[in-house]
Amino acid sequence: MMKKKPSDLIFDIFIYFTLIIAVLACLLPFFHIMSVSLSSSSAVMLQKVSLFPVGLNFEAYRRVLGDNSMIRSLFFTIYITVLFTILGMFLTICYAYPLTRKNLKGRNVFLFLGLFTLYFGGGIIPEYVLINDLGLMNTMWCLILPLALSPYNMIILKTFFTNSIPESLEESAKLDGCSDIGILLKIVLPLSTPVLATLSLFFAVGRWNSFQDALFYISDAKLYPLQLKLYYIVNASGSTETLVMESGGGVEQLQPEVIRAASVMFATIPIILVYPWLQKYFVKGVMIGAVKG
Amino acid sequence: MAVTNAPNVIENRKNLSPNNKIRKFFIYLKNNYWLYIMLIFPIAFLIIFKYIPMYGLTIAFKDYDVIRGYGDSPWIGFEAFKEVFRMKDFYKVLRNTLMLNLLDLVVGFPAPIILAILLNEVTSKWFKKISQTILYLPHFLSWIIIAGIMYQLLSPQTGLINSIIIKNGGQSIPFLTEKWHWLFTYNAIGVWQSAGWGTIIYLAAISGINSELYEAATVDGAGRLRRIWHITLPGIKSTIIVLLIINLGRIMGISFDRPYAIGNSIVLEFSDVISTFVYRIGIQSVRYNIATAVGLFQSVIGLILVLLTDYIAKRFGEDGIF
Amino acid sequence: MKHGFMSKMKTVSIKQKGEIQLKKQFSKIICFSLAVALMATMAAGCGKKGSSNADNETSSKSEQAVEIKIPVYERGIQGEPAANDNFWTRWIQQKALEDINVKVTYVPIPRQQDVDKFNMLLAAKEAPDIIFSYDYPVISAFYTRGALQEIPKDVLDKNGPNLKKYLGEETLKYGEIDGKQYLIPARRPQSYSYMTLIRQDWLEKLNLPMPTNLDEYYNVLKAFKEKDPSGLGSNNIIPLTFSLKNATDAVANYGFRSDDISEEEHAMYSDVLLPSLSWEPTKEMLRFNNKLYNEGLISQEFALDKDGKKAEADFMNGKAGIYGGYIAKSPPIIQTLMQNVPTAKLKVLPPQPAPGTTAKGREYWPFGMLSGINKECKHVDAVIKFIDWMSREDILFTLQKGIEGKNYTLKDGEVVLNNDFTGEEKLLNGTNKDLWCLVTESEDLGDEMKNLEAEAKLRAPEGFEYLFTENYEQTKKIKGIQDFLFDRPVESVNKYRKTLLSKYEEAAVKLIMCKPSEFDALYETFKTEYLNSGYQEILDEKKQIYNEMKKK
Repeated sequence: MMKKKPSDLIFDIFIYFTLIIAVLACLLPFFHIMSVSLSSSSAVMLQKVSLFPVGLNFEAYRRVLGDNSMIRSLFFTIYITVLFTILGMFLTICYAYPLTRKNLKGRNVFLFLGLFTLYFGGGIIPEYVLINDLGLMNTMWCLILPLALSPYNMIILKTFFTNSIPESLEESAKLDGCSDIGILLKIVLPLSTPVLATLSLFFAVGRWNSFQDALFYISDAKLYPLQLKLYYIVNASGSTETLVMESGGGVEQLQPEVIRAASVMFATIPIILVYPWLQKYFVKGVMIGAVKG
Repeated sequence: MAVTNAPNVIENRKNLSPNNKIRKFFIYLKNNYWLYIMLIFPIAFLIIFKYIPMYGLTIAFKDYDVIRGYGDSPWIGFEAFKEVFRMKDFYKVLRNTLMLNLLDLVVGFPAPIILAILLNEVTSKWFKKISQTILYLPHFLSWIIIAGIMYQLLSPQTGLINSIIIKNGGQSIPFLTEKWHWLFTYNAIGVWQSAGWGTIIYLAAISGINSELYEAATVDGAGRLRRIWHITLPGIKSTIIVLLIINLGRIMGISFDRPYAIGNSIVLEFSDVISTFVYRIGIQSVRYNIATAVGLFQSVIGLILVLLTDYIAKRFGEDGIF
Repeated sequence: MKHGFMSKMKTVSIKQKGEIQLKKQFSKIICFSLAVALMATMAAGCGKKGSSNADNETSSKSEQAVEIKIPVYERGIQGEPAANDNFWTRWIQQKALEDINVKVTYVPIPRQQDVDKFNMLLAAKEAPDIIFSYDYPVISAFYTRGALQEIPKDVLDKNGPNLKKYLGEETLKYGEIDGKQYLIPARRPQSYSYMTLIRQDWLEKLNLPMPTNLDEYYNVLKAFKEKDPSGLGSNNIIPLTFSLKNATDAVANYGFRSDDISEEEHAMYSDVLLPSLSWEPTKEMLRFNNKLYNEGLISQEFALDKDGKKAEADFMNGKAGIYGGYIAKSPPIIQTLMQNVPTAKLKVLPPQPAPGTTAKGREYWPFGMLSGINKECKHVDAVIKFIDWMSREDILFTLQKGIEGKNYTLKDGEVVLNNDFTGEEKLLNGTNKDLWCLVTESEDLGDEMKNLEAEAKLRAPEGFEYLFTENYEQTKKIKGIQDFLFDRPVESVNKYRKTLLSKYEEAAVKLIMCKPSEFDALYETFKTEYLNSGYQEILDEKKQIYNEMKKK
């Protein structure tokens, strides 16, 4: 279409070069973990595995995929992640949109209430006591409700609403008799698909990756999120000393490095696939022709 | 649809007697009740899950023990704070926290922006999609895993990189074992872990820029760099500023996992931070009031910084958070 | 603001788009509401708590049964069932209900966050009836904070006669604080799993005799490095495995102590949980390690080896001449070494005292798990009854061995373990230890030699049972000295321990890695800081308590 300037070409090369290096830097460590998960246990113990499997075998995956509790945890985690994301997006929209209306009385108070909680918190013990008093302990709701309200995401959404939706669109809609909520549903949301997709991703990944709450709130193994199981698997190895000393020295109380690696892959791949699927929403929201005047 | 009760009509009324004020208020409510109904949900969640446990902040002022219970724990005022401020180590970890965070800010904040811009300039769709997905992979690894990989890569003798250097007759580089090198390593690993993920929000913001602006600029003969400078960057300016403000507010806080996993006793002078300090003194020694006091200190500074930078941003004519 | 043609066009398109969008939004809202309603019903149906162990009881006895909550460590090891709900917890619950009319509920405690979890449960008034820890300072801190209640003598006598016999007076005494029984310690038969192994084939290759004192030990290490019996190259040899754990070992200085240390000095400085940086033997030990480091006799990267895995790898790769660690079937350290170096021969290293001194070493505490009773517990008698029940020979036997025909078979009255058994009855983590740890640390047949044999059979990799016998013999040569047990918690230890551990780690690493000429000056700096960071306070308090104890 347009003639390519030589400076453009140099720029292109620079871009691709930088990106390829960055991509490799991010990919290689993952490759390493994958290789570990496909290697033999002794090769891994001897720390002989770098980028390619040594003693290729699928034993670790056989164990992990054949573990019913892992599979069940996977589905349970997907389930609470979806619920969490829906609730989170609902709350974020309900919070952000009214705050974009500059004439809203109490706007700054509402905003400050949320911002304050980004920096101040009661602490793990009072939060634990609260969850217990609400009767949410050891249920899936304690993994969904407490963190669903994210002031951080709300601020991002509010900023996007304010800066990327042209005021003129809203003005003309108002003149046509649209109520505030109509504007939200008919104009603002459809034009915000990129940021809505982003925040959904933030919610989903946020829920998927956390386990600190489940670590203390959940005692029923059927309700362990996948990352909690992974945390145990990765951390439980501790030192040989603790293992042998405390576990009576029987045959199978080790957590082989191979199993750790396979579990990391198992717990991480599902969520990684969400973004490529969401990428189609990252095109601009539908703009109805040029807005002149 | 009714048009008569548009808000700007109300604003023009000159009559402001008490009755009219109340009437004005109710008309305002009638026009905007939807907005308040919407707000009920998030505010309810805020109050229940964030503000009810807020009393925990006062643990910093009490000689708190879980066994005695909150009510029976005596009030000690600022004693816990005084105790912390008297500890020599506190100032060391404070300095380290600020140092590590500032470094992260200076290097780690622009990194995703630059990456996002570069990605945006890529024309090949499949390259863009694949590299985006790969770039954010490190975000999903826990720091323990990352530390394990880093040790295999960067150890002074047996690490992959150094063993190659030594074999070729060079001197090993103390990535992890000399405190200034470690600073660089800590920072680089942090950028590696978070930059890819950080591009997502900027890419979303970039996609909100009107494409016509680009077409118009190209027609005017602007090259790549000028388009980036005059269109892309200004287009995401508000996002950048908001994120900058929030991150500046976090300069006193620091996660636990990253310095704990990547740090080691050789470089403890730099790797000991507020979070590891609190873990030792507060949590492990079961002195929750110390832990809370330090946390409160961090929070207050954080909030002041946020409000301050928001104010400064406003003075420069930008939209801040408020 | 124009009401002209353009805006009319926009109006039309907005309205059209609007309708579609509105329908979409509406349906989304309806779907969401339905979803929420559905979830709420399901949640209500599922009940407030997850599956509770209580549902498993069917016996009519359960109406009058006393309910107790017992903690159990959750290690989350892949492949293992949930710690609080599996075949064995159910077996215990059923049997306990039958035998002593006690209904047991297990509360899972994440192993790495046990103190935090206990504190949270205490804050919410949901703590189990027993609070336990393997660490004495941890449990004594709970005592100091008032979390535990006394176990009255008559309650113990009435409900725990078998337990008293099983533990014996001496062990039980360790559970006394300030003269009152607050803890039930588990028995700890002598264990021989920790051993220092030496590559006998290397000694033979270099024609060296087994070293018997510190000087010979040093010479052997030097010979290993210089003469490279492994063929891997001098640069790759690591004569002695050494990790961060070795560097921060608080009681590795026995080899540097003189023979005539007073009991008071011992009480003040010898503490497995708190390194005595300011003590002369510790200084000499660090100086020795410094020498080893600077001459390349230990790994130059030991400070980065936080969990000891690198040291294990060095040994398994055949690079190391001497390795100290716990030997068990799993992790397969010896097995991997033999795979790599089939000609390797291992022997247990004899004690290596400094020339002119006798071999001394730390004797283990004769107790394992320490269980205290929650102050809020209303049924101390039931809890004691439960632990007593578990110490019964037949109950312990089943818990430790399993079900006949499944986990083991009987051949001529001898128990033959079926190590490949994978059914539901598989012992948790291989041994069920987390369940019977309340009463004992390992299988106890009452006889030292029988215990040794049983431990070797259980833990030794196949063909290496002899190592346990050798370790036993070598251990016998060492004069075992126990840590001094104070009759009350040393509060300053609880307060400063974690800080001092961190400081010691930094000091030890720097002192070991510095140039030998800088050692003395650097040591003084660290010593002063250590004392000022709370160690002096600890020494003073210990001295004070010791003197008070001696007066009684």
